[in-house]
Amino acid sequence: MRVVVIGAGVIGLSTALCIHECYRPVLQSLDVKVYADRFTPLTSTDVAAGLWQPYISDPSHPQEALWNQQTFNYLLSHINSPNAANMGLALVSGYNLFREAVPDPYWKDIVLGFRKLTPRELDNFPDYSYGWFNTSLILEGRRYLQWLTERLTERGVKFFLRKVESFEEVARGGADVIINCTGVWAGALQPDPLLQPGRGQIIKVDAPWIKHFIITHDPERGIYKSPYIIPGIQAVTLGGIFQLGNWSETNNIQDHNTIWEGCCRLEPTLKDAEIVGEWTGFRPARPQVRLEREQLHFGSSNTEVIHNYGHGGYGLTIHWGCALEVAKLFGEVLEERNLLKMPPSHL
Amino acid sequence: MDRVRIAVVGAGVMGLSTAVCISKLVPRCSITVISDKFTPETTSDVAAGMLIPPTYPDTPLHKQKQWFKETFDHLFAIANSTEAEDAGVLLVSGWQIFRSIPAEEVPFWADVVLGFRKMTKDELKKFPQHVFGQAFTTLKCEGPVYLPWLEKRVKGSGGLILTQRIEDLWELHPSFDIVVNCSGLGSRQLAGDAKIFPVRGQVLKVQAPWLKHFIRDGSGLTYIYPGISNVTLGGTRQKGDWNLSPDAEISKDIFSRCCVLEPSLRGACDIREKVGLRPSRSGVRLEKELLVRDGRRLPVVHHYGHGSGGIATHWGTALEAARLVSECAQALRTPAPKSKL
Repeated sequence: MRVVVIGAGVIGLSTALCIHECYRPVLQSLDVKVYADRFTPLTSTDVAAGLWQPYISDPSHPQEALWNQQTFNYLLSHINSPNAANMGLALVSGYNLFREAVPDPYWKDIVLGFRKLTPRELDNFPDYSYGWFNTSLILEGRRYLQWLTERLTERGVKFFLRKVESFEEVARGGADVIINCTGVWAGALQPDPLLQPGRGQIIKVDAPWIKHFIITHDPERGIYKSPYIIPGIQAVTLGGIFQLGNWSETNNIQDHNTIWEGCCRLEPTLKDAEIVGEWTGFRPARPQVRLEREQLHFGSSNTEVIHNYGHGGYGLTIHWGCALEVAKLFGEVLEERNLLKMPPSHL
Repeated sequence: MDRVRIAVVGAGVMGLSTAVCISKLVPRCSITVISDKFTPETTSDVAAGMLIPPTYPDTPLHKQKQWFKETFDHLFAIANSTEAEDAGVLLVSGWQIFRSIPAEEVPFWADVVLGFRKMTKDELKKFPQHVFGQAFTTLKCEGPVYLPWLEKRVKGSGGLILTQRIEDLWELHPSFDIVVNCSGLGSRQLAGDAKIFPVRGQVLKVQAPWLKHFIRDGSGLTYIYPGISNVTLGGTRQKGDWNLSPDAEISKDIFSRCCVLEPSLRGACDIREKVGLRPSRSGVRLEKELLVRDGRRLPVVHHYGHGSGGIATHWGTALEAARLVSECAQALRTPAPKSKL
């Protein structure tokens, strides 16, 4: 059973790991390969700040709420491991700020210690009059991808630097199942008018006195278009850019100024912080995640494709729940082909 | 008397902050800070600087709360300003956890810190050996950065800084009109105060930048305080122990106790040991005393004995010390009433 995962961002690598963990014990012939034209530190995941936080509004697909929760619980279960920092994982608390009262988010009971902000806390943020405080998780993209790569390598999963031009090419190469984790570039393999780049730009600064995330919301402008400050393990990410349809991969000076001015206004202590880097990435924006099977016919054989892309700005937030779902679909494929001798222990 | 000459003995957080407060409150005075030790070699430099105040048995509770609130408000304003990095002040959230339900579930300072509440069951799962906890956001004020920042302020307002070891407060007479005694443990000798004693604290300063929350065991013996450039792990509270050299066995014990609370600390590196002697007393000594000897008079304002609550109360007590100094200065400036004879 030859599986090829296309894509080596958080979705590709975590899905590869999840499938291998679930099925290698019961399927000796399982062979998983990862094909990608970009590996860390050049993936979209590497640009992400890494804060676990779904969008404020309810997801259009209710399953996404479950996948987000599964991911949080999975990550939280590792928080007391000595390896947590190695995974890029840490607890972080912080503020969500609004200009007017809003309903509580559906994930308020998933995160820890969710509460409204007190008036004294809001005094700190003169442009905002309402907000939340909660404890969540940071999962730093680059460190996590390195960790996933180590786990996969230990398991004998091989990586190939390859620009895949078509599913057919991979099928004719001998793949029985293809897991499509190509993120924002999925349209190149199969047109998808629902998928668009949600261009983001971020500035990383050295500001180790900042221990909280601060995310502002402006419902008129939309998600990620309002300043945010997210501390990581070594640096603090400043952002606030979301441009649908913009494929420009270079840093833009106006965006730089928007981010810098917005974040310094929000957190004056940043004034003298040293900038250590600036990056652009494309959130794979889609009204909902595409997570489904598709059967393709090339010549006489059937190739199973399981799509897992379109996670927008919440890829790290939802990744493990999606990986588990893909593993479940993969299990169905194995059953249909009578390859499973006994049910795998994970499901 | 035109210019009142004030000597502040001690250059820890008390000496320096009192000098700053005096410069703002007392007109026409000259201030000299005199100490044998300066940052980074003072007790204030070893302290983690977390604003979680202890309780002083002999000081009225309303006073302690006032001092803590004044200090908190003062540092909160700095934490949100462009001075924060230069002053070494930051906001930190975290948890104080208990192995058994404490007698006092809500401490006197609960409404001074931000967002104080009980921990939820889910939050407590991180600490399987603990059954109760408090979550809140407070401030951290780091000696090695804050003290130089205060020193700049002292000099900026015309104050002088002198390195000298004072063995007797009378050495300051007649060069100075008022002495402010912020000598901490030094008051055992300088003020003949047998009520002040050291409580030895050993800590580790480590690199663990992924830690963003403080964790404090309610006993006060084990704590993890992430700061700007390192994380402080503690600690010990050894009464009457004057030993300033770190003990390797104690370091191992501190590390192991902290790893129980935060297993990811196993990945910490660059571990440094430090020792500080908390200037402990059953109550802060904040009062005037007129020293008299052979017809000479020397007004003294005592400002010491903060134990483990120095950073947490310093601004409030410094303001009060400055008020006492102001009273002394007023008295010196008011001509003595002429005798009726």
